[in-house]
This record gives sequence, structure tokens and C-alpha cells, in this order.
Amino acid sequence: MLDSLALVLGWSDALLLGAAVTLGVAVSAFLIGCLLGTGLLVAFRSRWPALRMLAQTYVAVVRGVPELLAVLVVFFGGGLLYRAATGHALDPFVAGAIALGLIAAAFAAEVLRGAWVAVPKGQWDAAASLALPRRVMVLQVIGPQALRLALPGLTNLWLIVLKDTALVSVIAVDDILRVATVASSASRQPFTFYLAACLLYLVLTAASLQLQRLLPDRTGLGDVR
Amino acid sequence: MSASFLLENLPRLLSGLWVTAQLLALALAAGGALAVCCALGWRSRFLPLRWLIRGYAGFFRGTPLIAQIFLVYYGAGQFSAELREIGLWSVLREAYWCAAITFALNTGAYSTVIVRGALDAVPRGQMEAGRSLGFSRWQVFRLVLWPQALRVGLPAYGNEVIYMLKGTAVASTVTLFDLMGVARAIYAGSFRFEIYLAAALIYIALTALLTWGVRSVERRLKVPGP
Repeated sequence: MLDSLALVLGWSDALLLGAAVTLGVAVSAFLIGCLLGTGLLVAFRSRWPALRMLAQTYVAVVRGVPELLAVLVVFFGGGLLYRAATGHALDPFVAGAIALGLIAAAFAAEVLRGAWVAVPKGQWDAAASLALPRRVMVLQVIGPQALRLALPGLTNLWLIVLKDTALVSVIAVDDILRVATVASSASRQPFTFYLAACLLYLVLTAASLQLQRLLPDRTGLGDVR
Repeated sequence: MSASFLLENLPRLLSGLWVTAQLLALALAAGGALAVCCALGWRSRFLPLRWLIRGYAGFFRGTPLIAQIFLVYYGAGQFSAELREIGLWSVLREAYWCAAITFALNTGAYSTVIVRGALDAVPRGQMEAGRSLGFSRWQVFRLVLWPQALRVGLPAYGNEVIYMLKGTAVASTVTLFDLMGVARAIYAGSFRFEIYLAAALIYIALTALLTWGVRSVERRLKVPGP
């Protein structure tokens, strides 16, 4: 038991570096997901049926594709295109972040859409009765309220993305899981290192939940009645 | 995308689909049973049992599925001597059973929370009413609470089923030839990228099928009327 602990501590720099990479992939994928998800929300609310259908098809397709498959498709397929266009190999970190971001976008779109329609209709009427321009209406009246409603869903999405980042170890990104794999073949103690990896992920998810509890206070978005 | 290449490999893809279906069915059956037990245990007055269940659900919900399957499959090797002694090695040596066990534990943890939420949604008075009519606690659970909880929990559980289906693709990382594993093997042998797209199409079709299945069960269970 103590031997194992000492062994893991010997690898602690590499594991912490892996945690930084994991967080890097997760933050990139989450941001891509939120941006693209907002784009999908706009498409959902669009006047053009073609655009609406495009967004719906995207969400339906992404819902059915395994995350691992998406990572491989972007890494190999996107890699081919990227090489043809630029002559360089696609960085696995970038490929992983894009793949997970594309999937997160579909979830983000659903969350944002749900929040958007949950803002009471009276808010639109009130904003219209004040003759606010459409831009102000969307960005300063409806948007902030929708964002508050979307927070729990977005936190959930962040946790999903954070856990899905472990899949990028398959395309040789040096994240937590990949460091654990390298360490377990070097030490022949796979259980020890995969358990350490799992505990690291638990720390990250637990810390995220703790942060989320603080979020409403920090942003003044808490529900005040 | 060439049709003859895909047709040639269709039998292999279908054999992979069969493995995926088996893993999903095993995981959902075992995980579902586990979830109902754990959700009931969560209501127990026996504190250590509640801690145990919360720890289990917290661990499997807080860590990536791929890390869990590595922990079980590769991690078992570290204890092969001990496992051999208690006769578990013949099971944990097989990637297939490691995957099935991991998936069952994983979906069991997520489903525990779903079932618990659904049971909590049934008003407390229902148990008291049932008990006062002379039903045993188990009878009230089976005949009164469970059918109502099922209606509440089914949409969320449907999502969990889809999630688990996509999760089974991780089995390909521990040497299994499920749909994903077959696609990866064909790609490694041919460098024909369209095989991944074909696999994606099958997964999407499977998702649509399962979504439709859950919806029709929901419709059947719905209380009739407006």
C-alpha cells in the first residue's frame, strides 16, 4: 500500500502535467461547444426552414455518434484534409478538442434552446413595449435571463466534456489517462496507476461541482425573489 | 465512398454490431437491476449502506468510462495471483466480461440516481395510504410506487440507454471487436476512411431505433386522457 503510494508520488509531476492537458482539452472543447452551440441556437430560432433543419439534423446525428468514433473521425479524416491543405500533420490535441467540441455543441444547443424558451413571454412583450431595439432586447433582456436558466445544464455539460476528454488518450494526447497508461507499463502496476488516474478525475469533477456552487453568488445570477 | 468496399466488409461490421448489442443488453440488464437495488438501499435507515451506495455512484459518475474499463481490465492483471485463488481470474482475464462488468457498474451508477429521483417524485402519502389498506411494504412498492416512478424516470432512462450505447464503443480499446473495434481493425488494414462513416451510420440508426423504442414504451405507460 505504502509502496504503491510512493510509486504514484514518483510519477506525480507527470500526472499533474497530464491533469493540465486534460483541463486544456476540456476547456477548449467546452468553449468550442458553447460558441457553436450558440450558433446552433440562432439557427434553431431562424426564419429560414433550411437553416432550422440543418441545425436539427446536426443535433440528431451527433446524438447518435459515439464520442470515441468522433475523436477518431476528426483525427484521421480531419487529419487527411489538413495535411492535404497545409502539408502538416494535425495535432492530436487540436483534433481531440475539436471532436469533443463538435459533440458538446449539440448538447449546448439543446441546453441553450431550453433556457431560451423558458424565459417568460412577458419579458419579450415588456421589452417591446419599451420600444427597445431588437439587439438590446436579445443581448440585455432575454439573453442574461436565459443564461441564468442555462447554468445548471451547462455545468452538467462541462462535467460530461471533462470526462470525455479521457478518450483523447487513444490518439496519443498526454492527458491523465495516457500518463497512467505509460506509468503502468513502466511499473507493471496498472491497477495502482489507473486508480490514481480515476481519483484525479474525481478531484477535478468534485472541484467543478464546488465551483458551480459559488458561481451564482459570483455572477449575481442567483435567483432573487 | 465505394459501395463494393463497404459491401465486402458488411459481414464483419454486422458481427461487430452483434457484440455491441450483447454488451449493451448485458449492461442494461445487470445495471438496471443494480440501480433498483441501490435506489432502494439509498432509502435505507442503515447509514453504512447509504454511504456505500453514495460512494459507488459518486465514483462511477465522477470518472471517465474509459478509465474505469482500463482499471478493471488492465488493473486485474496486477492481482492475477490473488484472483486465481478465489477463482475470479477466468472471468476477469476476458476482455468481454471486463467490459460487460464495467458497463453494468457504470450504467448502474447513473441509473441509480435516475431511479432514486423518480421514486422521490412519488408523494410520500402513497406508501402510507397503501400500508393503511393492509398491503405489505413490498406490495406497495411493486404495485403503487414503482409504476408511477417508471413514468417519471423513463425519459431520463432513455437518455441513459443512448449514452450507454455510445459508451460501448470504448470496448474497442480493450481488444474487443465490437462495432467500433471492427471499424478500427478494417481502417488499420485498408486506410479506407469511409469505414468510420459507415460505422457512424449504424450507430446513428441504432440510436434512432432505441429512441423510438423508449418513446413507444413511454406512450404505452402514459396515463390515458388529455
